[in-house]
Amino acid sequence: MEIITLERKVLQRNDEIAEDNRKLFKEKSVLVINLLSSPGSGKTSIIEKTLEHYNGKVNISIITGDVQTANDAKRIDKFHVPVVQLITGGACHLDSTMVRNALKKLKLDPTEVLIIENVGNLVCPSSFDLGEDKRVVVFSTTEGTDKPLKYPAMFHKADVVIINKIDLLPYTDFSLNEAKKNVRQLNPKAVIFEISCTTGEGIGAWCEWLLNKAKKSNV
Amino acid sequence: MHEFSLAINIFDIVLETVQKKQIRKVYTIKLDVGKLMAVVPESLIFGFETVSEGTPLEGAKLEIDEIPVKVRCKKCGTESEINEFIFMCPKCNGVDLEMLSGQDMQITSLEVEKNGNHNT
Repeated sequence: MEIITLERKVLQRNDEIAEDNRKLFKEKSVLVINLLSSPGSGKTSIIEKTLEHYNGKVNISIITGDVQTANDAKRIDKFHVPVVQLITGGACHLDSTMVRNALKKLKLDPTEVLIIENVGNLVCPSSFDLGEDKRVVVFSTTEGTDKPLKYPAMFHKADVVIINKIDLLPYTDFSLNEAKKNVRQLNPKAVIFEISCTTGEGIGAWCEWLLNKAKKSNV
Repeated sequence: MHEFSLAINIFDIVLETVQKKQIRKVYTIKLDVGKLMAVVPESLIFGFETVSEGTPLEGAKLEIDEIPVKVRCKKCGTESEINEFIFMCPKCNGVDLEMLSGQDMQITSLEVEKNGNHNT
């Protein structure tokens, strides 16, 4: 028997393609967001509200990933923005190759912001770099205050954490302070937004952050 | 279950090595798995068994070492291990931390038998 030393990163291939994607995004001055959450936290609603807020004033393109159905793309279609639906057919996360393939269907030159809606899952997508600039992780008041602590890797790597469905606070035992403390413990530097896609509260602040980052990525 | 994707990646890398280095049989694949990868070893092993069935890698065992999350404080330079996922320097409470280990996954080595090397 012989021992061969390898020292190869298991996700090396994914990382290399992600880096290619990142280079392309930089060249085209596109701000790219990897939007992550568990199923039903409101990723698609946040995209809808963001598109509604800008009302065509910012060129936003969307890549949306789901295990099945093109329902999310249909919801976004009514805003007349470029949208590519990725149906993973079982895979629980997007990877950099899927994103690279989706880019063939998008015009990056006019795009200022590309939002990639990942598959609803707080575990698997965490390790797969897509080439994004910022990771935005969403969780909602109906999911429980300790959600971040249950999924430390996901929240640790977030640049932004959005707490959604704050309009439902009176009907749950969710504690905003406790939730923010839990996020901070894992990730002291993340920007936190509290929003409601139903009432529109907090959407303005989130959109302002996004626009600000987009401007910067265009410099 | 991202373990399945990871298993496919492991399979591809090892198979490529087998073809390049004229390996007859792979006995063990040693892996360092960072705690932040959130990998369930049983699922990874199951995934690899499924992927490798009927291939030259069938029967290769995965040996998984869990790598703790270690950080260095950018403020005071203290190195520490992160337990309970509290990302804070235990000495100065600094939160600007450099990640030293625990966030990725690596194939470290293979135990193999090469072609024309049957007597070991």
